[in-house]
Amino acid sequence: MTWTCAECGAEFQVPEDVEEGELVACSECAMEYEVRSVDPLALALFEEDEK
Amino acid sequence: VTTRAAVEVALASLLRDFAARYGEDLSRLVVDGDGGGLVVRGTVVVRRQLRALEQVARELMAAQGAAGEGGEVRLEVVVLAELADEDPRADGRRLRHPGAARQDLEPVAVPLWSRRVGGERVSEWLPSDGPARVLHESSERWLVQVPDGTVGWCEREHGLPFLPESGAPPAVRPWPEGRPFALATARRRALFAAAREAARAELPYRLGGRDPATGLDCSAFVQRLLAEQTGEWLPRHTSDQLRIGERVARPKIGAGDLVFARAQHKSWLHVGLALDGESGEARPVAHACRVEGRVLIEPLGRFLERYRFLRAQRVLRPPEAGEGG
Repeated sequence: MTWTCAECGAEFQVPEDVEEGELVACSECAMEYEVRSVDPLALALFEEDEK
Repeated sequence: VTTRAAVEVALASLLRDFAARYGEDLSRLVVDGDGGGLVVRGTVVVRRQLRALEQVARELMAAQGAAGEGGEVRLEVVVLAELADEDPRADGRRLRHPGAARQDLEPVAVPLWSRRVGGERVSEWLPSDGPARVLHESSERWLVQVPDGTVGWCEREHGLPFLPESGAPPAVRPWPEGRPFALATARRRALFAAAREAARAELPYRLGGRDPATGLDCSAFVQRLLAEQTGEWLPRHTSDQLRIGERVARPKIGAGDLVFARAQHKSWLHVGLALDGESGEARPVAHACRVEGRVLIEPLGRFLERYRFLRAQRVLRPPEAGEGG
């Protein structure tokens, strides 16, 4: 599965065994996304807290 | 046209956020140039702030691109906490160190804090953590950096941290960010035994705490466990720890992996250490549990009912043949 990074525009691989809720990162710019849905694939920018 | 005014507005917003999050903020950012070649110059305190600044710059350039305009926003920004790792006499931005080369503290914790939106967080520094360094001195407090890289404020009333000689770099080694490294078999066993002992003793949980006697939080728990057996230090905060190592799919979580999660109905992050023993959803996970208020061990499946799975990272690998011990 692939996803186009909203930040840098690169297309990066999302592991096939990824789970809903899991955190993945763009392989080019390291921007992080939370998996909202696996099928169809939907990612949303990760909202980070500090703890 | 995007422009210097737009950049200045974005920077002002960012600086307000820094000040709210970190309390007395020291970031100083100015814009130079115009139209096609803007430069943001200045200083931020920690790398997290530089990442936020880079994101703002990317957003501004994307907006420029969408409007059919050229130009770029270039950053010439110094991270104060990193500058301290270099020779502090290198230039005019020398970080201020109080006169005394070393000063012993009473063996008590010194609270470090950073004010955040919606509350205050306290994080302790202990003499056993190694020398802290002073990055900045103000009338009421010190900005200090402890050996694992954590930067925080320390009220003057608590006394000076144990100072390094002439701004020496931290005494501990930060965890390698690349591939997981091998840990000898005996060390792995000792790591898991130490985690089980911490759970047996029901060490207390305390948000921001680093001291096993008075309480520690989830990230301090795994940081200390791993530092004791490897000599390497994970970052202090969960949000930084989850960027260390290699991803592991949930069904393949093994002994020594870090399991990251989020609270079920809140946004705060959590981390536990997977132990040896049962596998799959029954694999034991040791963590300083905010919900139960103590260190405990429970099966991965139960851990991930209590918290939402976020990511698993492999930071250790089994020893190669001949490396065991």
